[in-house]
Amino acid sequence: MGALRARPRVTAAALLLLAGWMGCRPALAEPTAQQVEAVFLFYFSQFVDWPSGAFADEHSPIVIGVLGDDPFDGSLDQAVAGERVNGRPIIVRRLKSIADATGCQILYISSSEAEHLPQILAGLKGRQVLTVSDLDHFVESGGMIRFELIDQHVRLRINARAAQAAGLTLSSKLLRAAAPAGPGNG
Amino acid sequence: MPLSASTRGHEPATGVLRAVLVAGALVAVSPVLQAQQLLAAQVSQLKRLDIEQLTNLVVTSVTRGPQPLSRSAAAVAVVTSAQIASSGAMSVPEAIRYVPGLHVAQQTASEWAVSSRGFASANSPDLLVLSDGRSIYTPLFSGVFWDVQDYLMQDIDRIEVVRGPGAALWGSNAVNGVINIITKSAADTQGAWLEAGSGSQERARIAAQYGGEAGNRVYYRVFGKYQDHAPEDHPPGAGSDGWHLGHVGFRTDWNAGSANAFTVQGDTYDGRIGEVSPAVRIIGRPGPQPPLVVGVSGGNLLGNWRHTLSGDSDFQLRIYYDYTHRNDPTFTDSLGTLDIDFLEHLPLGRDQTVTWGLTGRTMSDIDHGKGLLALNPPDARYNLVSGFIQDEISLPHAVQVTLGTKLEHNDFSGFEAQPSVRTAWDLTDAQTVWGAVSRAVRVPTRIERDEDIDVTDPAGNPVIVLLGNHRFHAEEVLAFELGYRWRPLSDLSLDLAAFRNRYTGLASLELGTPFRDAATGQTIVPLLTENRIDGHSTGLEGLAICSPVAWWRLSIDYSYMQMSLSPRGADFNRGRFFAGSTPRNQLGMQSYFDLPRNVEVYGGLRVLSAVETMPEVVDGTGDPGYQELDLNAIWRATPHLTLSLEGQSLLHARHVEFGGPGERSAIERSVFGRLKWEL
Repeated sequence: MGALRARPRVTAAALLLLAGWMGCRPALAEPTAQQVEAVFLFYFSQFVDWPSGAFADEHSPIVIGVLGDDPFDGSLDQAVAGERVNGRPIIVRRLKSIADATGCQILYISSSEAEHLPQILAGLKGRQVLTVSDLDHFVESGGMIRFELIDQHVRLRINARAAQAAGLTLSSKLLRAAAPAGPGNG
Repeated sequence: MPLSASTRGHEPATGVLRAVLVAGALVAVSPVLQAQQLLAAQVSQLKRLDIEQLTNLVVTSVTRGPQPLSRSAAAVAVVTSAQIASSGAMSVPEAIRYVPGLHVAQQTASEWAVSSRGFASANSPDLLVLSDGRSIYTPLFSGVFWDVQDYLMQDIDRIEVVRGPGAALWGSNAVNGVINIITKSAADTQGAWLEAGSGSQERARIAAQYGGEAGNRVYYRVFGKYQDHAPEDHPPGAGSDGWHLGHVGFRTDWNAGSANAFTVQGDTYDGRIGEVSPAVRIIGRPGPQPPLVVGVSGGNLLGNWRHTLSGDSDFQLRIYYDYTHRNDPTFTDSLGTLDIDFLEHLPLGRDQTVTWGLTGRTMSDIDHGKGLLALNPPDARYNLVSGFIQDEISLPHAVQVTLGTKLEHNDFSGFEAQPSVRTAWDLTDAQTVWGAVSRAVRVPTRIERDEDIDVTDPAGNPVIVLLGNHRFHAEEVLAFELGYRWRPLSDLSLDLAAFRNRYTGLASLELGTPFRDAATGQTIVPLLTENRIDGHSTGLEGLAICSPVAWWRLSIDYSYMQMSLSPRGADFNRGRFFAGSTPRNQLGMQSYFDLPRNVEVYGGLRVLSAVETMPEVVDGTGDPGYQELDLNAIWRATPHLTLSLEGQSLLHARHVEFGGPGERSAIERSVFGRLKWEL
């Protein structure tokens, strides 16, 4: 009797185990810093408020520009594919020079552009563009968000004052996630 | 700020649905996913994390970074800070209980026997333990005083455990394993918090920390902690093993640009620890009577500089000073250690990375016995110089070969070479096979070298004396390892490791040639430590981890070990009893549930077979096997307030884990409640 009663419980356990196996997702390697950064760029589109003048009309897409060599290896396109923020689709554009940056809401400046950084930032003065980069001293040079690799973590360094000067509002959630920036950057 | 439709949070029901759908799609496609689909899956998984979780995610850098765990040619396991938090582990030994291949057993309220691949004992001699690179084993008996290894568990970033000889990189005493405790950067512990808890065994535990920024990119934290632990169920007439310990410390991290990172950290502790039985006991000679209280104190200061030369090359320079003092009823010991380490990674062409390093260490140990234990000379200074070089070579067909050796000179056993050959082969993206052959040594301890202990009445004639033996040389192991890792699905992984170790010249206690002490006229019958036991061990370790849905993670670990030791001499100290001191079978299961309403529930169940023999127990009896269950529930009531309730050893009112009768306590069932307030 006891053995009989035990059987349904065993079946239930077997089913649970099976469900466990089926539920597992496909084999993935550890994420790269670039993949994480791609997802951050997508998130910035949600956590930054642009003034209405930054878009042509209420249906215009949010444009993420990648200036210089694209380090994302397709992950940025994956991150934004099919996404909409406040009804706006998100598109990615690869840019050869800063002159092509017109119409971008987010501009990622690749490490290949290190030499031209001062000119790039100067050229964006007064434009409502969120600037993002991996470059050293990016935030200190007047850039807005820097990805910094510290101990295998991607950290955000945010220059909220520069964003404010460009008319952008960063959500408190984004500011909280950032490592505190030095004096003058807060 | 309005969010898009993809609101994040815990949605167990849709989580299951989504997971099953993905699995369905997987079956429909093919066993091997195209690169694009893999990328899509990877990115969509990242998008399930919120922005704060992303900043806490460990990533591999494309340019350079440590070898991913899944590819390394060694039996490695990592306990993460998240696992430590969920399990409510209160100490490092508790946090590593479920690492396969390790045996972690509590002997008294404060004493732990932690060992890897055998040789379990409260004085387990074959394990190297590092705390942020600082060696914390004592050269006195080559073991770790776990009772003073105190941490704010929240500040531990991860604990890396390498089973098997890690000697090629880490040096002596990494015979059967290395435990690397790594604390968080001060940049990751910003903010203030206060934690207070109380329970039936852990009577009081109060900790507070403040983390701030001192200037541009200079982060710091300061912390303090006090805990008071009730005695466990100690044998009648034995000492009470209650204890209390206070601990304060700091850490400063300065990320001076991308090329330089500096860390300075230090801490100091003071406590009183009750012993069930004296640390040194000699049958037939009177020893101290209960209560037996050990006064412990110590501190350390460590500085670390990491400099990145270019994308692929960097070096690290570390200096520390560590001081420990122990005032035991049977001896006092003061140990000061000054250590300098240098390590550099250098790319060599496209396919090779050379890592080399140098260590210099000087230790000053002052040990005075109180009637029983005596070291001759009581004050000793010894030096160690070692260097290592390792070359990682990438070969075609995803094969990686690592050749390395350490060359060390120590005052105990002279030059020791510890080479190893490791190779890993990635069969597919999801499967790795690895193998290794290595030699490692355990250098003699101070006690083995300098002891001078009268075993019979010191005034008698003849008198039997435990005498240090300067001809005792290092114990040796030649280890053969084979491992396999399979990660068929992102949230299902399997890790297997097998080993065969050959030991030569393990310590045994032998009768020396009697001689006449000219000063006293007594005849001395010496008992000496000699290298007269050989043996071998065989083992198998497995770990399976599965996370069927985002809110549930299950891990199962199993360890099998068999050791046989053959004495070539009399083996008076029963070194051969080590063969049975590690349970033959250990099974563990840990389940983590991430529930709605900010509730987390953890359960840990472990089943261990008997400890058959122990070197400490004269007649060679052991301790029975046991099974125990720990539970922990955490409720993040508000962003500032977290409450948790923990139950430990819930299956029995009390149970014995390790140690001889009269030398151990039965560990009691306990509950502990805590409250954490974040400002």
